[in-house]
Amino acid sequence: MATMALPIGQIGNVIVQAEAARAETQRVAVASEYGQATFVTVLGVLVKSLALRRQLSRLVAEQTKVLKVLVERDFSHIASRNLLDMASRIDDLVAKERGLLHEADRFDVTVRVWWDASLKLLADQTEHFDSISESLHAAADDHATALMAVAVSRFSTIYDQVMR
Amino acid sequence: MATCNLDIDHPNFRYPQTPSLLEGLKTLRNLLAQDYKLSGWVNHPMPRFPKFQNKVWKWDFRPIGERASTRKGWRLYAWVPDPKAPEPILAIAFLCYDKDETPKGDHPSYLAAELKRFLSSIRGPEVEEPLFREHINEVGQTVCVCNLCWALVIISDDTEVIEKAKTAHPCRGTQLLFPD
Repeated sequence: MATMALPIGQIGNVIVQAEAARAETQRVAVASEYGQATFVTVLGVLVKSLALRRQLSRLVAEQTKVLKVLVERDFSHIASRNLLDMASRIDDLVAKERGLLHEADRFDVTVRVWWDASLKLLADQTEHFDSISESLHAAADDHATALMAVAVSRFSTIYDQVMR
Repeated sequence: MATCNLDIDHPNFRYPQTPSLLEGLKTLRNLLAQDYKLSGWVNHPMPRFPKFQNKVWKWDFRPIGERASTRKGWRLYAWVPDPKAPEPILAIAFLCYDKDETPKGDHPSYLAAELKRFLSSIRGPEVEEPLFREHINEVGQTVCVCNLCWALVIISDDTEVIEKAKTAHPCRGTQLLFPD
């Protein structure tokens, strides 16, 4: 049981980064909601937008590494409690990132254009994490795993008979 | 990069026949023909079923041209008869659902419900099967599932308790064949 090799710490790091990015998104929102578009307020939004762009880009790069580790890992021999522990951390990350994406979607496109490329990647990565979490939860659940086995067994039996 | 041939035409693969989903599936198929590890690929773990390990793959995909970063899209499960076969590796789609309809949390229950729906819809040559399907879980208990209604009958390590649960199960006495 290679529990030590589970990327729990790496997931914890990206959760911290996602929280920071969400906080920065809120700061950009507050800065962009000032009533008067003076030079100072526009400059403030610009500086914060650049900082957010850097943060999102770092977050996406870090998540690419974590996802690579997760998809290459064989989870079939990991104890259920460890699967659930990791799944719950991933759920935490997914919830934070969905919140971040929701906040970012509220911005006008002229502001969002600064981080649009990173947001698209982040959205895809969030769904990828969600999919991995779903599989970990299901793998730790006797009924869901049994039904998947029945489904694949029947599907493959029918396929073999049709192909024969 | 490993290429994949995603078969979306199997008669037992049913999905909501919307133009956007069909377009999305075709685009996914073209994408996987370049590299199967694209589009959120996951090798679904099958603990305690080594026969099926590495043989259930899944991907996420979105409507074509969808720009909103919060639109979730669909999730597709496919059976891979031989993951070590020469490329392109054949993957046969069998289950697809709209992620926007998934409830928050409790993934296994939702997946189980989708699998039950899939199982009750598939058609094929009749094959006799036992009424109950059993396997041993990681703590040595027997997991018993009804092959007719797909309900979890019991999880126990007590043979007597398992037999009682089977006897009390409402599907008992029904002839079991693949639905025709």
